Amino acid sequence: MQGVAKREPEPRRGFGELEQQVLRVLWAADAPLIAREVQAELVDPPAYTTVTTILDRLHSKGMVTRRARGRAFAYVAATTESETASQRARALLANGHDRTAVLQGFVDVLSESDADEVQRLLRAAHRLREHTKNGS
Amino acid sequence: MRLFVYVPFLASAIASCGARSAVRRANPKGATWVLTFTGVALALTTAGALSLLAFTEAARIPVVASLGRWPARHVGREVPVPWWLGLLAAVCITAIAADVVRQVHRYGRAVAPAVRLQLATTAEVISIDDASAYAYACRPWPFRPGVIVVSEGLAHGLDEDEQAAILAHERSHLEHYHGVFQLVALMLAAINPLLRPLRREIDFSLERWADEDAAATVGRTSTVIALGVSAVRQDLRTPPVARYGLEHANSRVPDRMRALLDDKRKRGRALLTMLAATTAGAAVATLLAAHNTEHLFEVLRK
Repeated sequence: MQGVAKREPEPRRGFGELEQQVLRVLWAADAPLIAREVQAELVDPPAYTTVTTILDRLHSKGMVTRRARGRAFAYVAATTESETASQRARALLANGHDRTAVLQGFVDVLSESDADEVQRLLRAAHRLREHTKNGS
Repeated sequence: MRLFVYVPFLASAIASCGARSAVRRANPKGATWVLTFTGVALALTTAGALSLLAFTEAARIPVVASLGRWPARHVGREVPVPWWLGLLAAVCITAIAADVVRQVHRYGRAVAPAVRLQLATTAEVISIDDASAYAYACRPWPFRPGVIVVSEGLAHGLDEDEQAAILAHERSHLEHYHGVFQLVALMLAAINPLLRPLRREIDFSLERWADEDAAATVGRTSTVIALGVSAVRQDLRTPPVARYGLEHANSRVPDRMRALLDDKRKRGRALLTMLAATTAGAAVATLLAAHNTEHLFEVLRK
């Protein structure tokens, strides 16, 4: 996964990128991790306090949950990877006003006369389906 | 030079007019390839022809003439291009260059978040909790697998086959690098505005290609129904695909449904051959025009 992070088109060295890396560590883990363990899993591990700051941030954003383990907090990712991907996809929809040449969609928007035509064709398709079902 | 240099413009107009009926009749995969090659060749030849015309204008400027060692005042007499046409060509080249830069900039802005999405996930299909109905494929970076996004609003109310049709359609976009075709079509329409109708036909042909792949995987009727139902349930509030569709003012979902229902597949080979021939003609004419121009200036030098 870290390999993927390095291929980002605009590698941002800020907290956003580190948050992603920490989340990936938590997704990959099958048990709650304390900050020390998260730090050990990171490539180019940042300072311990940086890791705790990031975990704190993620916690306040509601992206991780934590519970006390000994004197430290152990963290679990609150969302799954696919939920986060879904959020990213939504963000893409929300702010990309000009996606013309990037996305290929299943349907275009319909004009009113087209909508009538589509309804008519749909009925034809349903009849065809009934016909083939009865025939077989 | 007198006539040949104008052939690429004529050929572009012919190709743009012929593209629609060619696409309606031909197999969409073949049609996409032919239209793309036609478009690229015509974009290049018109760019070449415009450069030739602009060059005859530049040749009249004394500095250029002294560099080329021909008499500037004789150019107007020998070159069969009126001065205003050469000037017009130069203006066109400037406008086109500006438009290409603008398009590349727009594309870059649009592509950045999509590439981020593509690189951020290893999932092939992402389901979005959204009541609006839409599905799209996203593979702006061709060297990594793409992502399919399907809204829950679309999946809801379709049976298994119909959902499979949508996925098969999007998968076809990803597998066959339709994003690259789209980008090429965008660029060639920017280089030669006469090719804008051709670009629309390439985009339409890509949808047809994906439709046919879906029909081959899950069956014709399921694909038609999935297409029709999702088109009818599209609403204007949040559909990303609709925003994509807005640039192509008229939706052609009915055309696509009709094409799927029409199982007597017609052949469009003749029309595609005609397009290819037109393109070849334009290429030869441009080369001849370039050769003639060269010869003309050789003569001028003596």
